[in-house]
Amino acid sequence: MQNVSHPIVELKGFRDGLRLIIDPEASMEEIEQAIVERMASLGDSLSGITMNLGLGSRSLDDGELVRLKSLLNENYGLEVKQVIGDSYDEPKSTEAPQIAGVPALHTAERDYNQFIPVNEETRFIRHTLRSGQVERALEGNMVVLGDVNPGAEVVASGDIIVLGALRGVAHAGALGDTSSIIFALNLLPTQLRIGRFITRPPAGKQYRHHKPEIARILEDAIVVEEFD
Amino acid sequence: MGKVIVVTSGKGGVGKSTSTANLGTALAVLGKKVVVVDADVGLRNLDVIMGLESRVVYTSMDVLEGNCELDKALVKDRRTKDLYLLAASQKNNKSDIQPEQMKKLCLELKEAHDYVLVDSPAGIEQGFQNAAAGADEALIITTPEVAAVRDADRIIGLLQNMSINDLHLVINRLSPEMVKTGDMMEPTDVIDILSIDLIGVIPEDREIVISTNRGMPSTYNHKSDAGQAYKRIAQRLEGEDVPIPEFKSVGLLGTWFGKLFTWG
Repeated sequence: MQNVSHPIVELKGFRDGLRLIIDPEASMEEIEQAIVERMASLGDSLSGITMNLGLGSRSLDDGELVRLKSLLNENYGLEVKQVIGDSYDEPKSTEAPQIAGVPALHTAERDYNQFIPVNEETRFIRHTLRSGQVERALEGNMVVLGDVNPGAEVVASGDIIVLGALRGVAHAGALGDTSSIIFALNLLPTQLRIGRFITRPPAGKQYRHHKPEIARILEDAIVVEEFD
Repeated sequence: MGKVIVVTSGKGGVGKSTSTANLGTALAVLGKKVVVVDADVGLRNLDVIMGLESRVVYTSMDVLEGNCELDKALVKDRRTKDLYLLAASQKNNKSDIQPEQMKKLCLELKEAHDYVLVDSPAGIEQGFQNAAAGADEALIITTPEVAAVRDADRIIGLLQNMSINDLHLVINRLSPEMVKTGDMMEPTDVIDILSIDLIGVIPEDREIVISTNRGMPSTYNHKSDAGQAYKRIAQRLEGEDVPIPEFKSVGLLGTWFGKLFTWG
């Protein structure tokens, strides 16, 4: 039975990258259908990304595994790197942990005054994002040379830097990297998300802050500080 | 060869049709050849606001279906020289017209007119797509309300995707008293978000309700603040440097940007 709190397939970000977690109880048909449903809303935004399969207590035979891999690869451009589960070998520790194919930063220790993006890939958006427009950079950072207006959304697996006003929604560390930051010259967001944390500006009076600000995770909460 | 300007907003009820009727009239009063096109198929009302309802015989649908010549479908407004209306069909749906057909219609209309103002329906669906299909420029109408500005922002994004980049902003129904008391968004707040050129501010004016009900655009009424504001927009469309009295310049020549709001 499908349960609201326990979907058959779940897409989550881990330190070693994106992982598709599959309900061990589900049948092969249910899994395949659930993948199609889950991916439908994502379009081709994950294309070219490597991911892991999380099977838990379940074991799949080779035929089933090939079917899943080709479903993910042929329809959505996703490459399955590793299968993680009780009946599978532990991930090799020799391989560098990855977030979406890019070396991830493990430690929360980071000098925030050093404004050098940690992940290598950085996507530049050279215009203002207006309501209804969504831009994703799931292979690293995003820099917006313009505003992010209310109703617009920016998503990155790494840092998000807005050289303008951020009035919409920003999600940094979207695949789980909680060391990601969000920076804006004018931070007036509808909502901020870093990793699995969400925050919104204090209710009530709309404040106008014209100094650059930076948001990051500090002790399991998003904190916003003036940047200087 | 004239130009096609789509009048649009995203949100409904912010004054697209009223602005189309008033600007069309104001441009015609300036001596331009103008046709206003109702693109709100199935929910037409530009003819009512223009006071031409009883004279509509053919619609744009009849032209597209080949039932009549384009010239025959244009209703002449007798109060002003060279002002025409092309009504929308009330019997059809928005999906009965395709963007390509609308584009062709606009091309034909701008051959013979200086201005073709297309009154867009609310929304971002096919009705809007049709209205914008043949446009060279766009007038974005918004009120100083968060929801209206949000929708205007969405529309601007869609227009830019259609490569319509000559965009002018009209802030409608501004109440100076409410701005003064901090209960209404200031024009500068609106411009901050939308970041396109402001071409005019229309003050809140009860006379608009009366004039739309009577089918007599406020532009004809010299006592109507809104009507006079529309006249100034028409002059600006014609390239005249008319100050926006709702704004006081802070010296940024040639642009409406960065002008501080004051109301005398």
